[in-house]
Amino acid sequence: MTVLEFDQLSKRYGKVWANRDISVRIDLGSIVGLLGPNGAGKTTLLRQLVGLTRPTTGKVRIGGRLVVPGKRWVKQIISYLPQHPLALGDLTVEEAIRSSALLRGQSWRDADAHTQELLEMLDLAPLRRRQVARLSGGEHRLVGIASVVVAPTPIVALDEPTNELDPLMRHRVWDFIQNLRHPERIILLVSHNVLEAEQVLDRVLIMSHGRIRHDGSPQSLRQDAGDLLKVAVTVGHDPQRLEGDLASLGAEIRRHGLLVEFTALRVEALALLARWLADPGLVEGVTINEPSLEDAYLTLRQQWAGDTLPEETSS
Amino acid sequence: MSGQSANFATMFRVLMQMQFARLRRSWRPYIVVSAVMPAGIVLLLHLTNPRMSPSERLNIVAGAILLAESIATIAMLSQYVAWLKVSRALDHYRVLPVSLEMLVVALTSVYGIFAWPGVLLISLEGVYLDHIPMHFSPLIIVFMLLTGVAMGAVGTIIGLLAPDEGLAGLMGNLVMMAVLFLGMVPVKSLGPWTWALWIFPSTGPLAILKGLMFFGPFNTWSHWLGLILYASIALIVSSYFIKRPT
Repeated sequence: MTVLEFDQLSKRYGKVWANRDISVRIDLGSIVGLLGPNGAGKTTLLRQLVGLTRPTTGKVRIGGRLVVPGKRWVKQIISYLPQHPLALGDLTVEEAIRSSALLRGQSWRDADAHTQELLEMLDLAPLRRRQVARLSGGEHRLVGIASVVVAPTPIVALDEPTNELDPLMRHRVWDFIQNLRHPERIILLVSHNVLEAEQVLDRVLIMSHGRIRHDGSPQSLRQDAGDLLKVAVTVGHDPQRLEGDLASLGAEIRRHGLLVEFTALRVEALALLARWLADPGLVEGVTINEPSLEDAYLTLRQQWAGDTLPEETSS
Repeated sequence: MSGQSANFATMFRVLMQMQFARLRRSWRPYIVVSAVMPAGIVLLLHLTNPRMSPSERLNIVAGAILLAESIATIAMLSQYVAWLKVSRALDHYRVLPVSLEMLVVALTSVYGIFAWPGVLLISLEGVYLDHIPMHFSPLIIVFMLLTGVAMGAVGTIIGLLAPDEGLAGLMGNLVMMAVLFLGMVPVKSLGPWTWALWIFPSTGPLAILKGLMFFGPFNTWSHWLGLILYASIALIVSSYFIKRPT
């Protein structure tokens, strides 16, 4: 059942389009990732959804009902975690989470119970009496996440939820987002962390230059990128030759000392490897892997980078 | 699809608590500065001009009380609101299912209350230094809250319209200076521009305050009406600007 609908949505600041002609329908029960480079228009799209940014053209509908910025019913349905700090800096960690639950209509008893639960789950219990403004960036982010999920709404919009978190906490937050999955809920999240987001996403929307360039499952993103292989080569002699060959392929290359990693089309990568292995001493070791969603994304980004668009965009 | 929001009593309580929490980090500027400057002016004028008439003393004390209120609600609140806007922390309130009118009432009344220690200090100066016979009426509390909302709504508008905290502070201070001059040195008439006095949130309150604290009887109903009207309009305008999407 389609519940959330962006219809020809655009936002222009002066002569610059932040996003353009975004038309997407999202069904209940799905977790949708908005991916794309900086300035692609992802945050603008979330701000249009929650009514913080008025679209230049187009409409947002929820359950067929037109979203009008500032309307109480919209705020009751959508909870939003922005990238920037919330206005909770003067409160203690415990007060901040409980206040958010209370303002979202929970009873004092429920708000208190859910707050204690989240404090434990997110390792915030030792910080419960600390002022939010005195927390580190990562701790502050966790309080923001807790404030949003303490009273989950039918639509949850999260902008970079794992920013500034350590690896352990990032995993916990992704698990947390997974646990928010519900047949009556849509989770829409912006992330740069394609590798980690892959574990929870049902659908990936990739934005570039303010437009949606890909819309589909994580698997379909891999298909779009082509039949890829991820190869790691330990270089023996003549690394310039390897890099020269790879440059002619237009592959995404990462170099760490003597290790060269690249992702390329399977046929081309295998042909290249066969050529290199025929030259004794050129290559000392090879590892071949199936590409991750991130590899597919990076490959597609490189393809799109060459595309020309009629107007400049920015988020 | 449906969601929930708090009832008005809970909403008001939580929003008030969130604003009062500012004292944890910033009690010195809010309470000390708003008290020391106007109380210092009263003391200075008392020491340098001992031959002031009773009506001049009365003007100075009433003006100083409104100055204390304006420091907290116009100069300081405008800077805080500008910070909320520039840092985008204001978006947090905008996406919560809360009444933004209630948020403005919470912000303005709490900032008004931050000035109360100063108001008490200046009143004591009036009684003990200038020997002004003052009356306490419970209406003073209503008056202080209402004046806090009226001035605070002006501070909120300045903060929302200013491009940054620095300019908000400058504009807030200019309005505060106008409150200072029009309060302590009341202008009887500006000729054809007399109406302009009523743009300032201190003109009506000054007349009410003199009536309440110094003359006792409640005989300034037209000014009360003006103050209520002023506070309501300022509240509506500031709520409009707070709600406006970019």
